[in-house]
Amino acid sequence: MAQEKQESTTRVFVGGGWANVLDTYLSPYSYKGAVFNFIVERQYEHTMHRTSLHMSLSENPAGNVNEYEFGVAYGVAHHFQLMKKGAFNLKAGPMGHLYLGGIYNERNGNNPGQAKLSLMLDASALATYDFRLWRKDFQLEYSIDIPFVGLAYSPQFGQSYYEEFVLGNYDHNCVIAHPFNTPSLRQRLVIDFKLRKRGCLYWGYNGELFQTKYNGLRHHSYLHSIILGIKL
Amino acid sequence: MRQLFRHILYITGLTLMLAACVDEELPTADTPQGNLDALWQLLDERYCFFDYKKAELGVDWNEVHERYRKKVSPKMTSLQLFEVCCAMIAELKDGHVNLGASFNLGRNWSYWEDEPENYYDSIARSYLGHEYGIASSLKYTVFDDNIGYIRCESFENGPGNGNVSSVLSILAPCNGLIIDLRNNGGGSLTNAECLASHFTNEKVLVGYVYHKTGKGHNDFSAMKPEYLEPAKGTRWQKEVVVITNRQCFSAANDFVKMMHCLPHVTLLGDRTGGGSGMPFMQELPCGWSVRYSAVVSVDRDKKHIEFGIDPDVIVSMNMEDVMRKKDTLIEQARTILRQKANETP
Repeated sequence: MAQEKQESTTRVFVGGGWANVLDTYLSPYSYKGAVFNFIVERQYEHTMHRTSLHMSLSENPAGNVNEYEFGVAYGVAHHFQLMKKGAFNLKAGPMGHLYLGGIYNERNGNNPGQAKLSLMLDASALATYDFRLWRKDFQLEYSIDIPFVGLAYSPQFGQSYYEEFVLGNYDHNCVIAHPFNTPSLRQRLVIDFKLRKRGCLYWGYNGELFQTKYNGLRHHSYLHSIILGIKL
Repeated sequence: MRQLFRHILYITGLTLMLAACVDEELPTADTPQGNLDALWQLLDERYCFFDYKKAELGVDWNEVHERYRKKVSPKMTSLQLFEVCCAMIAELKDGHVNLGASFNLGRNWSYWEDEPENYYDSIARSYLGHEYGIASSLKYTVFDDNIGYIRCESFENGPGNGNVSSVLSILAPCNGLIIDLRNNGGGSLTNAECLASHFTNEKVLVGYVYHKTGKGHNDFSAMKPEYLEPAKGTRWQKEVVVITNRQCFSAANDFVKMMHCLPHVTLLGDRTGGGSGMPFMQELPCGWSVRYSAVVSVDRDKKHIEFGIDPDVIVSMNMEDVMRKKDTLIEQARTILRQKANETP
């Protein structure tokens, strides 16, 4: 018997905005600059796959050193229908999330960069609200993912990459992440404009507030972007 | 539905509250006082030799802070502040502690500036002649008495395994080998280890390394052993003399640490310059870079080599030799190698 094909929606977003990056392995101060985002999301009735990429270029408070950050993330969420009342729809569920990224400081010698790797179980929620305005249909969509528990990589407070990767000296480099040492969230608010035929145009805000406190090292990456998307 | 909204708001609010915790910890004010305090605190939390420097030099870092705070005033210029900051970090007598500004590099190079150099470039170059070989950072030749000579001025860019194997294969017929390390200010530890690995046939314990695990002066990881593994290419089997002076620093100091553990190696010349802390970099609110020792490397007896390694044979440059354009250290090394070659059955 042929399996019934699940209906899906694929959306692509691009965006740009402001970045604020702190990583005390590289510098005690926050670097500020610009971020570019690219997100591909495939939504089934209860499942959502999201692949996202971001790159940021920021500079130190004195404005004489640059830092480059990039990250690639893949997440898959299973959303349960929690509420459907009129135009309002709320779904929530667990999300598996793999993140790989890095930061490069163009001045530092033996500590020029910081690698980021984590595998997390997030709490994920998606809320939509349909409404009509100026005789047109709109939908407001809000999604939020909060990392809950997982494993993350971090060097020790003063550990060099030479010790880790040349000498092979492990020192609590695999950290158990939880909301107290990884108080982070990703959220997105978009409004869709239905186009004349089948297409949709999305416009909104994407915020990634990623923070860690592992092995005495502090990291935050606040990325606020204005995003624009289309339905494929 | 209201209840659900409330729950979402609670979760978001709690996360944002926790989020506010992960921020900067050092003074952020770009003022003379703010920069000096940031420099002091940064080193206080991250520098790895405070206890050793207290024992050897009597450095009390809190007292240093009090003394130098008095020298800072709100209206002082950048040059004046730089001078005060450099004087403060110079108390640590560490060549790896530097302050970098666009107009100057703050340093304490007393480990070699106040010591005899034991090296004359024009004389050392005359030993290489004109027909010497160059393989990456190695310059090499064969002396008249069939002693091989390798000049290694830096570990910044090489040598690689292929370079060392090729050079040692060419010098293989020699009766002994001199590695002239004088004025080698260091570079990559990997390159230093690569060169040393061609002088052992077995895995050898050469030292231990450890790092800071927190902000306290004594917050350290366990010491982890460091081994020298034999290279896969050509390995030297005869006697070696490594010539050192006070300018052998950092990775060069580490190379000497490794070679000192090998049975057929003689260290000759002056004490090395030290610099056994692997340096990290951070910065101040004004943008000046701060370099400091972060990872400790000790010898196989767990003794500090921050202030250098003594040679087996102490030899200084003889002024009469200098007048005759002879390098006393190279000549002494040749004599030792000739004697050892004659003793070999």
